[in-house]
Formats: sequence, structure tokens, C-alpha cells
Amino acid sequence: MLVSKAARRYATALLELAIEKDVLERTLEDVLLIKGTIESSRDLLVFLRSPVIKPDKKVAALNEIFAEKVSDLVQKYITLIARKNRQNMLDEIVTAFVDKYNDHAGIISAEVFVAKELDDKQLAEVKQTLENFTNKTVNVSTIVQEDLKGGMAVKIDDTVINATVKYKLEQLEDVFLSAAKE
Amino acid sequence: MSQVRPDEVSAILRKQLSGFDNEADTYDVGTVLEVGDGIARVYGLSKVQAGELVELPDSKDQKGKSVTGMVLNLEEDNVGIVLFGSSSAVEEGHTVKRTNDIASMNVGEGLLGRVIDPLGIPIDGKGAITGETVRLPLERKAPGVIYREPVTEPLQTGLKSIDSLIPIGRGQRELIIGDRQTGKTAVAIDTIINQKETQNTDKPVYCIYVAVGQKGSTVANIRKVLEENGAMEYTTIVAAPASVSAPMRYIAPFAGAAIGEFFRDTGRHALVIYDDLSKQAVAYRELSLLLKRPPGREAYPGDVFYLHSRLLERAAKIINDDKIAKQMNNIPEELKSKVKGGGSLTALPVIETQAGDVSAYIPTNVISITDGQIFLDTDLFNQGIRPAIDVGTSVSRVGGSAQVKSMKKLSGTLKLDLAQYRELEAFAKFGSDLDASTQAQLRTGERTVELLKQGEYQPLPVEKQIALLKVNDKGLLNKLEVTQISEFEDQFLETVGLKYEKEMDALADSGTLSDTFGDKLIEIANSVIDQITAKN
Repeated sequence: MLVSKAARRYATALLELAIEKDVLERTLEDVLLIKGTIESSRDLLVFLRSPVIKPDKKVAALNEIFAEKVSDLVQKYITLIARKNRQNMLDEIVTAFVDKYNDHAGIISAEVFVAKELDDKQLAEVKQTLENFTNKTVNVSTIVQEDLKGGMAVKIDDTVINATVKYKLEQLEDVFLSAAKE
Repeated sequence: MSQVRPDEVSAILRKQLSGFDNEADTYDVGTVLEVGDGIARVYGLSKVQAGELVELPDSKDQKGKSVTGMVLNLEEDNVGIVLFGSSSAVEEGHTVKRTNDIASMNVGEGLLGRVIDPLGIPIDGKGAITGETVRLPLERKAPGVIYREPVTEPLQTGLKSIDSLIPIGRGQRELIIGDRQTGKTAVAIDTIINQKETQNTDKPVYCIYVAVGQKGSTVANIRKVLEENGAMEYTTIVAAPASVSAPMRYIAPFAGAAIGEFFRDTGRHALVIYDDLSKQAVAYRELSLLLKRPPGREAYPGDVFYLHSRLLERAAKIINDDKIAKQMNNIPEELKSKVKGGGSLTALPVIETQAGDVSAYIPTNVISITDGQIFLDTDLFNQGIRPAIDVGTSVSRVGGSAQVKSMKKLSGTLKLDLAQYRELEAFAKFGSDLDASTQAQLRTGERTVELLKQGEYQPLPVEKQIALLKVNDKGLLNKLEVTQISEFEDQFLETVGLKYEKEMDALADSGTLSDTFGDKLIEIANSVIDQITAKN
């Protein structure tokens, strides 16, 4: 997801503060809670982004939803965001925070594209291979696309390692077609 | 009837498949965020380089080929790319793939005689480019100061008025400027046709004609003319007609320069014609505005001067020393083993002015970059003076040192005579009584102007030009009427060609006109003049 510069700055501030106060894990839990809530409730996202609803109403609603459930720091953070009138960016901020946390903790996420669902043993093997390859903790998410026909493609950040049957067939087609023209 | 044997087919298939490996392929990707007007903004592609070619495998055009593009803008959270193909095939969310290839093309001798697009793909229906090729980047730094030499060898255009008054040397950049319909392209085409003479010498000049934003029919016509005159064998046409996208028109001159550099860096001589750079500037302005770069004067982006200066700086005469030339900056790896000194790349950029306004932005820019300009004038064209070269405002800043010796001698007085004639011409229009010496000057001037006229696609070898100018220098033409000049020219050249073939060849080789041969030429001229005057 493309996040704005402002969201990244707010996220960096929270991360640095959490590290300083040594409450990083608790903060992450809270942020994940907010992230999960926004993702599961489309109403909340629309509510936050709506320009018609008054900012103080948004603050009140946010406080009511997350009060008691989050730590003091995150509670204050939400109030700060509200005071700066950035509630509409909350979803971007939490996404940016998770990215920043992953960077900090040396976790990378990898998307694995396969034609058929992998079983647990295969998944563990893929994860192990990727971790050996990158020297980092890897979060693997699998995406099943039947038209790949077989093989596997892994996407880490912008880099794709492609060994699917579909890709190979396409390459072969190119080779034959270019040879035919000559 | 020919038959295809099955074992032959399987052999070919096996050969093709042998290159097919089972390894995983690694590449970088991004996603299209927005697309429109030939521009796409892409998220991802974090390691991409500016100027790199990218491929959009999801976006297929009508022929089923995937669209390609070039990276122009690298921004904080997105990458701006220009699309070479149809942007209607590209949709939001499509994958963009890096090719790790800075915009480049395959260049080799096989390109001669062909018509290609700015990415080096043939578009004349004659199949793939044959022969050995090297992959050269379109954008390359111009050679540094120590790898250059001053211009010393002439590049004959075959046009009397240019070779005598505004001489061009190999490695020079001479601008051809004028309004529409003044014969700018004709000057360029005549120059290409005249290089046929050099093909049998040890220093042939290869030609590249870059057509930017012209009508497809014009490009087809130029190709036909070159073919009919036997000039296509040593010429490549890079065509980016008005129908192709702005990025193609923008890179076309760079493609022409890349081909020229191949000849230049391998110790040979090349001539590249950019027809025209005002249309390239317009294409670049379109791209820049779409990429949201700030507009400047006449809405051109700030770096439009650099666009033309970096292109024209690539025209150069390379030092005649293989050892030094081999160390030249920015030589692509593939070309290194072939580098030789002594080559040259001459550039003839063309600029179209609006209503003779040479002080517009692009014309002033290019005038200041080039080593002189050939100014073509609408009024002269309409008066029937063709090529319509305005001798007064046209200059060549470095070509003089490359001019053939005897030509240089003759051209000195010629220039002065013409300038005086132009000054007096204004007075003569009043029709008042003029003294005898003024009338004589006008008479000579009229005949000189008539002598400098020349038909299209009829370039004249330098030795014939010298012979004609020698006759003019002695004032012999005053005996003839203005209308008889062209008749004299034909008869005189024919007689000289028949009688003194050897001497003319010697003149072409050495470039010096001996006194004895000069006297002989005057003799012939007198007899031809007598013949013509006697007839009437």
C-alpha cells in the first residue's frame, strides 16, 4: 500500500518513542489492534475519512473505541493525531508503523505464488529456504493462482524470483516466435 | 517444390530448446498506479535506473506484443515512465518489469540501406538486421577534449553556394534553418546524395537521416529519392513520423547519434541529419509537461538547452591516434575492441522557424550550440533563387580551415562581390541613373547569383565547382545574358569533362588548381561563350 509522507513521519515518531520508552512490543500489539479494527470495519474507515464529520466527534469516537484497550502511550498518540487533525490518516499511519517495525526488527514479508495450496511441511521448507537466503525472519503469505500451472514464484519487496511453468512457457513462446521471424 | 524435412525441423527445435534453462529467473517489478497521455506512474521498481527500459508483460497491444517504456522520472514514492506503445493497452494494477537495459539499440553495418524505428527495429519489411551488431546506448557522453581534433577535412555538400561560401568540415555541426517550404530537407538530401562520390575513396561518409515528426509520406518519398539516386546503400533512415508517440520522437535523434558514433568510434566518417529538432523539442515539451516538470520560456522545460547541446556535442572529429582514442571516455564494453582514431561525426540539425523568427527560443538555442548556420529565406525561394541560401546571414565558424585550397582562394572575392551586390541591389530598384562602375557591379552580381542556382538532387563535384567559380572570378560571364548562364554551365562542364578528364581528377584529388590548367579552363570558357553568343 502506498502511504503518504506525513503518515510515515507520524509512524517514525511513534516507533522512536516506543523504543526509547522500551514499550515496543506493547505498542506493536496496540497498533495491530487498531489496524485490525480499521480493516475489519469499513464503517470506521469511512467515518474517519469523511470530511463532513466534525473532528471532535472523531476524537470522541476513537477514544471510546480504544480507551481501556490500549496503552497510555498509544492513547496519548491518538489524541495527538486528533489534535493535529490527522485522524483521516490513521489507517495509513498504522500500516506505516508496521512496515517500520518490520524494518527495525529485521522481518521481511514474502508473497509466494503457487498453482496449488502448499501443505505445512512444504511451507516450512519454503520459509526456511528464504530465511537462509535473506538472513532475516520471513513472513510468508501464500497466494494460489491456478493459471500458473505449476512451479513457484516468490516476491520479496520489488524483486520476483520466478520459476513457474506459466512463465517458462511464455519465455519459450518468445524464443520460438523470434526465431520464426528470422 | 521445396520440402521441409521432419528431421530438419526437430534439429531446429532442439537447437532452440538447448538455450532453454530450468533455472529460476530473478527480476524487479512494480505496479501501475495511473496511466494516461503516454505516461504511467509506477509504484515499486525501487532499484530502477533513470533511462532504463521497462516492459509491461500484462499490457498487450493489438499485435499481442507487450508494451515497453522508458524511466524518466524517479520520485520519492513513484516512478514516472513514458510508454513507447499504445497507452490504451495499459491498465491500473498491471505489472511493470525491469529489463536492466539502459535505452539502447543494436548497431552495425547491417543498418545501412534500412529504415528503422528509434529502438533499432526495422520497419521497411526487409526482415531482421543482418550481420554483426554491437549494443550501444542511445544516451552517451560526448568525447572529452583530449580525444578531439580541430576540423580539417571537408565534407562536400555538392551545393555550389554552400561549398564555396559556407564550407562544412567533417566533425562540424552546421544548422540548417528556415521557414517551412524553403528547401531545408532538400539541402540535407542533396548532401547525402553527394556522399556517393566518397564511397569509392578510402574515407567514405556513411549517412544517417533522422526523420522526427514528419509525415509518413514524406519519409517514404525521401527513401524513394535516395534509392533512385543510389544513395540508400550507405544511408540509414531512422523514422519517427508524426504518428508515433512523443517518447519515440524524443529519442529518435539520440538513436541517430548512436549509429553515427558507431562509425565515428571505429575510425570512419559519418554524417547525421536531424530533421527536425524543433519537432523533437515539442515532443520533449509534451513529455515534460505530462511528467509535471515545471515549464519555462514558451512552456519548454528548463533542460531543453541541454537536450540539444548534449546531442550535438556528440558530433566530433576524433583524434587520429589509436592509442589515445582507445582511452576515450564512455566507450561501451562491446565496442572497445573495435575503437580506432581519425573518425568523425558531422551533424546537420534542421530547425524550422515561424515566419522567419530566428529569435524564438529553440532557434536561438541551437544557433548558439552549432558551429554556424545555413539560413534559408522564403523571399529568395519565391524569387527563384534555389537553394534559397541567404549568403549574408549564413556563416560557418570552423569550416573555412577544412576548405579545399583553390576553392578557398576563389571564395574570398566571391563573398565580397555578393555582399556588395546585395547592398547595391536596393538602390537599383529605384531605377535612377547609375554610374558605369555600379552598373558593372550589378551586372556581375546578377550573374554570380544565377551561377549559384542549382537544381534539386543535382549535386556538383568540387572540381567542377572550382572550374565554374574560376570562370566567374575572371568576369567572363558578363559577356552573357543572365538567361544564358545555365546553358553555359552545362556546355562548359561537358566540354571540360571530355577534354580534360585527367586534369579534373587531379584537381579533385589535390584540390589545387594549377595556373596552366586555369588558363586552359578560361580558354574553353571563352570558346563556349562565343558559341552561345554567336547562336543568338
